[in-house]
Amino acid sequence: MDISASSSTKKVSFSDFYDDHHDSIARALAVTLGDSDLASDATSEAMTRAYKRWSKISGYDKPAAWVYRVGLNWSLSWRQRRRREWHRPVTFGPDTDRLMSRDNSMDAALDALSVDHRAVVVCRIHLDWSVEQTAEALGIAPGTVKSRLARALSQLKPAAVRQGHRPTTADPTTTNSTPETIAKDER
Amino acid sequence: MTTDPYLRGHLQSRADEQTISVSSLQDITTAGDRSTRRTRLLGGFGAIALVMVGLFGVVGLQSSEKPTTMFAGLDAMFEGAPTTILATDDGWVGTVLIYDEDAWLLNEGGEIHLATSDDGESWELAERTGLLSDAQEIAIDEHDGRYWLAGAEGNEGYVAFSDDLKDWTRIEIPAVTESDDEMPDGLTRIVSANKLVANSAGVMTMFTSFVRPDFAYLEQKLGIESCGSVWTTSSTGTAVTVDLRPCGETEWQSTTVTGGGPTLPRPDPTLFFSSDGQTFEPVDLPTTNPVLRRVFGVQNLYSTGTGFGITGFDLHESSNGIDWTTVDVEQPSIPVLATAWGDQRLTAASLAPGPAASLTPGTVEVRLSADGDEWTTHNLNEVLGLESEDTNQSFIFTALEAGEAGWAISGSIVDDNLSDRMFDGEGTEVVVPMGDLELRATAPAGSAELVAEDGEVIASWHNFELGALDRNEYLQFQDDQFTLVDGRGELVAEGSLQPILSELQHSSGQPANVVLFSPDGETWTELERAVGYVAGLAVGDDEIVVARYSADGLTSTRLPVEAD
Repeated sequence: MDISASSSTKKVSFSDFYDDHHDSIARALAVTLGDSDLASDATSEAMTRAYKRWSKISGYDKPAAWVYRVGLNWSLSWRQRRRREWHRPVTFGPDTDRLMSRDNSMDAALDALSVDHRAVVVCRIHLDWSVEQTAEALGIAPGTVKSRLARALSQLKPAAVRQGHRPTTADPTTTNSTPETIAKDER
Repeated sequence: MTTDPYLRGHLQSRADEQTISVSSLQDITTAGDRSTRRTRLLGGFGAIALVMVGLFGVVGLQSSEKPTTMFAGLDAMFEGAPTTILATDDGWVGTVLIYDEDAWLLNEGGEIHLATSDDGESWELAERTGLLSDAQEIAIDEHDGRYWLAGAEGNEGYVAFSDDLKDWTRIEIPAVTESDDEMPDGLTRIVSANKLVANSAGVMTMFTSFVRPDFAYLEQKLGIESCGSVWTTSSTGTAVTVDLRPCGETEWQSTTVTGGGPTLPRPDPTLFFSSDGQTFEPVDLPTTNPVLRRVFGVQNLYSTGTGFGITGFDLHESSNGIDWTTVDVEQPSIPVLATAWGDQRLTAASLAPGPAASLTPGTVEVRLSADGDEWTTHNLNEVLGLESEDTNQSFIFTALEAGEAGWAISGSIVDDNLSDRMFDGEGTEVVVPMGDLELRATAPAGSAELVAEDGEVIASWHNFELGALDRNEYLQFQDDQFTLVDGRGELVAEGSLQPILSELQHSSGQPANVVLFSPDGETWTELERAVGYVAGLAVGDDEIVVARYSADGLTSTRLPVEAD
């Protein structure tokens, strides 16, 4: 993922940042939220907010993490508001028709996770962010990242086993190693 | 293969399958530029809105372009400085309003937090108060170790006190304003707590109910959801124009709300007093001239140490919070602000220039008295760099505070239509072709003229700001486009405003907001002239702390001074 490759020290222009990250952030949010439309809107909103404060945001260690976080919070707040409006019910969730042709058991296990836990999985595993970066992106303590990831993986492991995959012996909840490193270490 | 690579591959596959439709870079930057401009205007027009509300009862400009960090966690949401600052024996205490994550509309408000600082520049959030406020104004004071807060929810006010900044006892203040039933569709009232004074005589608080658009009603009327993106683009004494942006879109929709009468309902200031800190009763205002009272209301509440004082149509003081005496300040103009420290009182007044002013145009002065009887006048025009005879500029006082170090004033230099004046020479000249005409403007908020080929001025504006330009029957703005029609309705010119927007974005010119200081109330110096509306001002033992709105949010600065 190119998000993890962003420079932590060199400031980039907003247009370059947008070009490099808007798609990957939107897709990460879509996986987290299970709603690509909401993820697209959230990314647009978060990118707009980032643009408005780019002189400050660009100095962050990982601007993409800030955008992901704002987009995620925006989406969750949006959902909360919509849920309160009982007369306009909105159903959120994955496109089940599209998922029918795929690995249902792992998708079902992912969908069964709470958004909080799924967000940790996406940041840590999909986006390759470190524990600290994930903690910063989600506004939680590093210890919370580890505990949520451990809980999430324990819920996902049965699905992985059903697909014929062994659990890893390395524990990604307690190391900043990327999944590639974990796999190499295991070899 | 391990679980992690498998899971990672699965997540990647799932991500790749998503149908993503993020707004284009151009749409995002356009929306960002527009909202940045709108947000900046809130500070820039704060003083104007204050005056306009006070004098004419019009609806103030408001924006729901809340801080971009509003959803990003408590620490991140704290922008760095409070809006109301109080000097204490241990340092500084300020109020911070933090919006709830679900506060999509302005009328859903936020929670009051207190922040403390040792140096007036670095702030830390104290424990949550659990007190909510719909208005950005929050009043705070301290007396005998007890902290007092005044806030408002909807059209109801409250007072709360705490001895430790942690546990708060809330006291409801009923009937702060009139019933919402009397408001026409599209308008509602919101109460703000302007000032609270706690001293040995008791506790007095000042609330004002403002008229503002009912955004929820307007959303329903227009059939859209704005996600809080609302903006009051212009208001007169009879109507207010509101822009709302549907969720996730960049296009704005406008609607106009009228007051259902000859004028919009005026702000309604009220005072409440408690001698025991438990039961608050409305204060009967001393009424000398009902017309003046109606127009000027109560501008300011201050402590005399052992009593209270109010300014507005006149200066009045009370030692028991009930009986009032008129203080003759021998001032030809209405004292907008006043405060006291020790035995001394200081009043501040400036005359809005123009033909309506009956006295010397552009005069800015303070009056000082050690006994409330004899007063000395001290003109501030020179220190502000304003010519007394200049009818095109004046000074709007926004705060007058006193402390151990002396006296401090904040305000904005304005031109004759009460628009913020630019720093000299820092505006950017912009010339934009409009068909056969040219728009010649000083960006970002100077004057502008629409000039024909033969030099005839077709139209002019005191304040060139796209959001504030008159929307008349000839010149219309829609998004980034303009159209100009003649008196017969035929199109004269149309085109893009992007060149102007670009200049606005990059111009360095900003309104001049000034902080003055005097150790004795007589000799004044300019401490700071800077960009950004002053949100908070407090006087310490040997320093002034100023909180300003800036491009980075609220920031506070400690300015060392030498006491008398």
